[in-house]
Amino acid sequence: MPPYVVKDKCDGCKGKEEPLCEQICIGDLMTLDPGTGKAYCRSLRDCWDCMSCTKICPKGAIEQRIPYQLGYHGAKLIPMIGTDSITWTCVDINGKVERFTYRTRNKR
Amino acid sequence: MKKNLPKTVKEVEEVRIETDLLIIGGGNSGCFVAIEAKEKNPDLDVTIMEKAHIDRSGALAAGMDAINTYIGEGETPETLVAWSRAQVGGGPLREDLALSNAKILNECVESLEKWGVPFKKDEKERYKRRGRFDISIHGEQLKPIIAEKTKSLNPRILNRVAATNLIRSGDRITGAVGFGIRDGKFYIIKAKATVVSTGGAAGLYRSATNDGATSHHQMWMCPFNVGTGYAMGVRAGAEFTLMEQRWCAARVKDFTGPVDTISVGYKAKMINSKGEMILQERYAHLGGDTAPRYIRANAPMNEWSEGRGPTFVDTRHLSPEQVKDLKIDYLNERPTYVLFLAARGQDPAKEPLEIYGSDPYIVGGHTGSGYWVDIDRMSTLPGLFAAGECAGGMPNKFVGGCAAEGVLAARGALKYIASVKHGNLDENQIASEKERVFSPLLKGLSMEAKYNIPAGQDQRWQYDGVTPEEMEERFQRLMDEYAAGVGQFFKCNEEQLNYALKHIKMLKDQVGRLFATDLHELVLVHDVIDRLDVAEVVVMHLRERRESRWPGWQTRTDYPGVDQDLDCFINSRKDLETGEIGMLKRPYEQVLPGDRTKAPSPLPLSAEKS
Amino acid sequence: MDDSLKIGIYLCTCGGEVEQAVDAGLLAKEASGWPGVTVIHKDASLCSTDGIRKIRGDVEKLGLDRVVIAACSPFFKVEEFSGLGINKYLVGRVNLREQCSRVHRNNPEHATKKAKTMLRGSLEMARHSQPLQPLQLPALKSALVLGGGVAGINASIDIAETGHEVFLIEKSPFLGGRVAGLHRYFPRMCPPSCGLELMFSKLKDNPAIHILTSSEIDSISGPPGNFEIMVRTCPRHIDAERCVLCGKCLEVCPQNAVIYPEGPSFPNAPAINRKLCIEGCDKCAGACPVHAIALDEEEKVSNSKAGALILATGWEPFDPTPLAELGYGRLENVVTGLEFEKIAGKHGAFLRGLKRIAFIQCVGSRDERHLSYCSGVCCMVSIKQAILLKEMEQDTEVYIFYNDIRTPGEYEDLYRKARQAGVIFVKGIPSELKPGDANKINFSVFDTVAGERLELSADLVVLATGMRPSSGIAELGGKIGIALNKNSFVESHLQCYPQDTRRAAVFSAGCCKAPMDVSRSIESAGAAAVKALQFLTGGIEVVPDHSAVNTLKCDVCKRCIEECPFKAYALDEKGFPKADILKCRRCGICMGGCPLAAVSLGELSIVQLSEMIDVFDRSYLDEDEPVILGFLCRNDAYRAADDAGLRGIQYPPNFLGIMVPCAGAVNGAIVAKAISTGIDGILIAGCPDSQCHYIQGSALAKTRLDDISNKLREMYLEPERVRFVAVSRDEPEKFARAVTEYVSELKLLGRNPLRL
Repeated sequence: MPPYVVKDKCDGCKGKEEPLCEQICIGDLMTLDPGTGKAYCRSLRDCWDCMSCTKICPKGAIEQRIPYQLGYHGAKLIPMIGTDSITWTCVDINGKVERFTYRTRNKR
Repeated sequence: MKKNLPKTVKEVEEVRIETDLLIIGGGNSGCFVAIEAKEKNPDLDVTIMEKAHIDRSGALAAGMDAINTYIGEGETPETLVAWSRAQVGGGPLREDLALSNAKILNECVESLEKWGVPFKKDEKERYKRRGRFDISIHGEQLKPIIAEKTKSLNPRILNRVAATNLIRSGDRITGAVGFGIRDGKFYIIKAKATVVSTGGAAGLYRSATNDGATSHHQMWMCPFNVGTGYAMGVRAGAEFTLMEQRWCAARVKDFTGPVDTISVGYKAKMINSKGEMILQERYAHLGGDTAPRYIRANAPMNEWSEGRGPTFVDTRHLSPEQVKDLKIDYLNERPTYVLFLAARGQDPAKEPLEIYGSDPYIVGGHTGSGYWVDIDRMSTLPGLFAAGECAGGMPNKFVGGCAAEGVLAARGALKYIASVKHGNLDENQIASEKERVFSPLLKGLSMEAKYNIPAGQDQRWQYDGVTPEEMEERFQRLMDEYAAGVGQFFKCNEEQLNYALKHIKMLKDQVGRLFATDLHELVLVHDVIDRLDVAEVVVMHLRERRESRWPGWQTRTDYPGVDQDLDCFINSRKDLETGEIGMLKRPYEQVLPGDRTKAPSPLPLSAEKS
Repeated sequence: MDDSLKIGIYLCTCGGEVEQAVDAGLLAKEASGWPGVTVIHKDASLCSTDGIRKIRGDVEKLGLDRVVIAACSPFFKVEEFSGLGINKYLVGRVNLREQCSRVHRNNPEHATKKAKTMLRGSLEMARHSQPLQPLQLPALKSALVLGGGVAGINASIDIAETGHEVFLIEKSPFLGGRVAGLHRYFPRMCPPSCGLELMFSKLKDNPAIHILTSSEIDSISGPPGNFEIMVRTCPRHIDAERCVLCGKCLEVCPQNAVIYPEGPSFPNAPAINRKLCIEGCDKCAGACPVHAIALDEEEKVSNSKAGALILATGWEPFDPTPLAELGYGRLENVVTGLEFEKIAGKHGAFLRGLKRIAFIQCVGSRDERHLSYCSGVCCMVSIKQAILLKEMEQDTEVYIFYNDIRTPGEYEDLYRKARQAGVIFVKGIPSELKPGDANKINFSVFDTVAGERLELSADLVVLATGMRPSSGIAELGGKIGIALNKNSFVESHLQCYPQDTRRAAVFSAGCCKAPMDVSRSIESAGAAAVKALQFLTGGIEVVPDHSAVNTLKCDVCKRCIEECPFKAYALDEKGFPKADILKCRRCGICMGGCPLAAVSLGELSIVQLSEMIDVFDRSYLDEDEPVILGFLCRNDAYRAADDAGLRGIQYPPNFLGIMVPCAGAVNGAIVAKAISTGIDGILIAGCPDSQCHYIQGSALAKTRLDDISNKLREMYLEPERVRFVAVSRDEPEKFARAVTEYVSELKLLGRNPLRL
């Protein structure tokens, strides 16, 4: 399932060597285009949609999309990561918005 | 980016490391091996070799919504093992291993909470159960938390290094080699003890939802767990067990995601197109809802094959709050299932969720496949230990049990390390392995230089070689059609299996034609080679078990019943002289008395007592 | 959570002031039930001797692990509350007076509720605070000064005279810099040789000063206090001790390879540029009567160690050649101001013979195409030169063509003197210089004061060109890791830290930081020397409250390395980013930018902020009252908020202010957590961009908030729930207004849909 990198938002993690999505991708799929300094997925078919890249991206530049073979376009799932919380916003193809917030780490 | 790729084997830089304990695979159980070893002996030199990045590697990459094995109030290690035995139709399973695991299971699970994983609680502040041995967690950060704990103990972590083979010195394993996916270096690790914890093998079969373009990896198990741990053991001559016990599961259709979340967690019944409750209608004699796992897993595909598809889990009784909780569970484990529902505009409270069979996986944390190990988790090769999904003979480990296996393998390895010195490395073995590892890349790069085909054309077709994707697709279809894939409703016969074996051998002869033009493709090349080696063993096991002991997981149309003579482990070992896979049988030893097919009742809970 | 910690809460009513709005009794009652609270004490004057004694007594008797003081602003009574017998980093402060009671006087009920929320948050902050002990780091006592002009020489002398060793590095073979080439300098109009020679004798007499001429820096490594500098020195080939300045070498050299000092110089001996020599030629050596010439000397690389560095690399004149209409380089009698100094020094008779001399001001200056700035000295230079001309020959007609004459302070006297001497000032710049008869220069100019066009012919035209930084500064800046401003001068914060560069223990003096005249150069050299001396005590005491990376979380994306304005970060031996304790300025910009929230400051950690947000009651006022979390920068916004308190400017109590070192220190994960858990609005108040003490903190904070704002929009939430506002130190009204407006806006938006 393909991750889509919004080019305007991606800043290549500034270090310009190995952006966080490239570091974290379990399938070695995200990488940096040396020409543009932006990240991209080198093989859309091989993505397992674990969303690690989407979650770790500090610029909110990565969207996870459902392959069209399996689901219709227009739906969105956006994670917002807090220090010990996550908030998901899901929008379905009819525009219905759902939100989910919960703790991801125990109190210290 | 193609920076500084070597042109000859000689140019490949070598990294040599000497370590006490080498852990191959830094997923859940691999991290637990490291944690246990370092906590027991902080001075021990421990090295983790990890293909991805331990922060998000292995099957836990996306998170987890439940721990499927925890011994709650009213249960004991013995009831867990007896329940597990019944889940696999009475076995055979290694009850000795299962009991030792169950005894330390709870402390492993509880440590996760201590390190920061939020566990859901019931009204009495106990872990919230969703099934008999299932507890619910908010495991979105499960893997990062385990990784942080691991890092805090300072093992040497080699992220982005893919293991390719074990080093054998006589009978003993004295380390392993691999290549750096980022740096292109050849890693030679000499170790007193080596633990393989690379997870299971996914991608041996074509997934039912594999439509090519962007859904090739639409599968349940992590597709980057390709069975390297098994493959290296096969090539080194280790003994394997129950490789025919494939995990063929009912999964949400098209998405191929987990179903237990719904069926166990929210008591949703499986129904067919007629609205019949499948388990109650057709499997009442096997326990209905509590029928063995393979029965429940295979039920939807049976309905389809008999013309009663499509099949569903009926979620129409769920309240809006339950639907929300259900979605949170998915967000914790496979978040995009929530997106998938949204992409279909589907409300589970109004429509039941469609289910279907998954592609078969070899996952020793779920079924009994894996290395044949002793009570210390040492394989038949001295110095080589197996943990997590790699350790065989003990099904139903899941996240908690795999963590416990890591602890046990670490303890076994520590004991072994105390008794040995470093072994020798056979430099000839290393040199030929280096050649084997890098030649597909050198081949690809030299072709690229030679042909210099302009961009915009599909360059690879013009090369004189095979891409890993081509071979993977060919072989996955072969397995699906001839070795009881979901396309064949998990069924096979002797002739089909012989056909599969014949073509696997032909594919193996073609391995020399594989090429890669960068390090990422080199990973893909070795992935497909490893899968072929595992698949060959799986097919040999399927052929050897001439009965249908666990329909679905292992169904022989030519031997439909259970054969009492096969109430034993079927094991295999590659003969390193001939290269042939040899089959052998090992007896089943019952430790816990009682009916093997029945799970004992739990003690009444204190809540119900009052 | 460590529940076992014993925490004491001390409420000060400040002689009843706090109680005008906050019910301290009720507060004490409620707080007594909070986790870990071992003692709670209310006092009318905590900062009094008795108050302090009470806290000290409790700390000792009860073994308190943490102390929370709810009283005035943490900027008050700092000393009193640091001596409580407990590590001062374990003492939390709640700003009950300036940011609660005094600003919510008209609403005691809400003020009390807010006070309770603030106190509860601070308790959590204190619980997660860490004790810090100062460290003693070894440091060198020597300094290195780069550049041997007046600024560098004076800085060297100032430092050496306090007993410290100084390495003075000069690129050219002679010290003295640009000043050595001047004829006279203002305002006293004396010859520079007089001042320079005094300086040279001080250099000579001080054994602590090591002078390396013809030398440049190869590399600089090491932390502040312990710099290691590799210096490459070209040989002079002439032994300055023996040389008697007879000039024979110059006479015999066929290649013009002997560089002879032009004015007062040090060392007072020529140098030979071997690059120009003909191979095998040794005529000079043969001619030298004192055998001072050594042609086989070789280049040397030496290693200098210094605790601090002063950059005094000076300036060079703007080259007017690109301004083709002025004919410089084409017309013989068009010269620059600096060239005029030489003529004045050596060819007085030539000048005396000229009838008319014209000065053209602002050549290339205040012009976006060339030098966008005013160098501030050229007016004085031309006036000085005009007066000299008039003093030489009363009858010479001297014109100064100008846009604006800038002669601040007492320099006005010289301007007046020039007018009295008959120098003609014309407001208007000649458009084109043309060759006339007998080497004269013809031009026309529109006199904007008289309103008429003048057609003139001059014997000599002097172009008053501005100053630009020495050309090597960019490369040098790169080696040292300092920043240059848009005009390529060494950047500094001008007002607050005029001598500081972006790198700790590296200071700037003289014209490398801005155009200035000789007297200001010498002043700034003294100031830089004083700053450098602070690093030369042989040891540096630092508190390890610098930013630290949690390596368990860090994935080495290197954003901190890139975003740190002070280049404090480098990878450590394990490959993780690490801020140098001495380079770090504690701004927390790295903490704000880390995508994994893995960076914390010693005094303020991500965990503290996160845990504090957890305990805030999301509806501490009323169900429908929004709650705003404010992050106020320590230098400006927080102080403006305090001023609002001192002045009693009222704003709604829906606002909870948290002090951060810089707006750039607020991490997105903290904002995300606050929004996710139902805080209605996040207000980050920082300095206006150009005033940010940490250069880009405010700008980065804005970018990061924009990212969050965009994300909120995508999430179908109101992007207005996060906001940046620029508040200066002196804008308490603006601060109060911003809060007031934000509260009303948020009321219109309604409560945060994510509130649990």
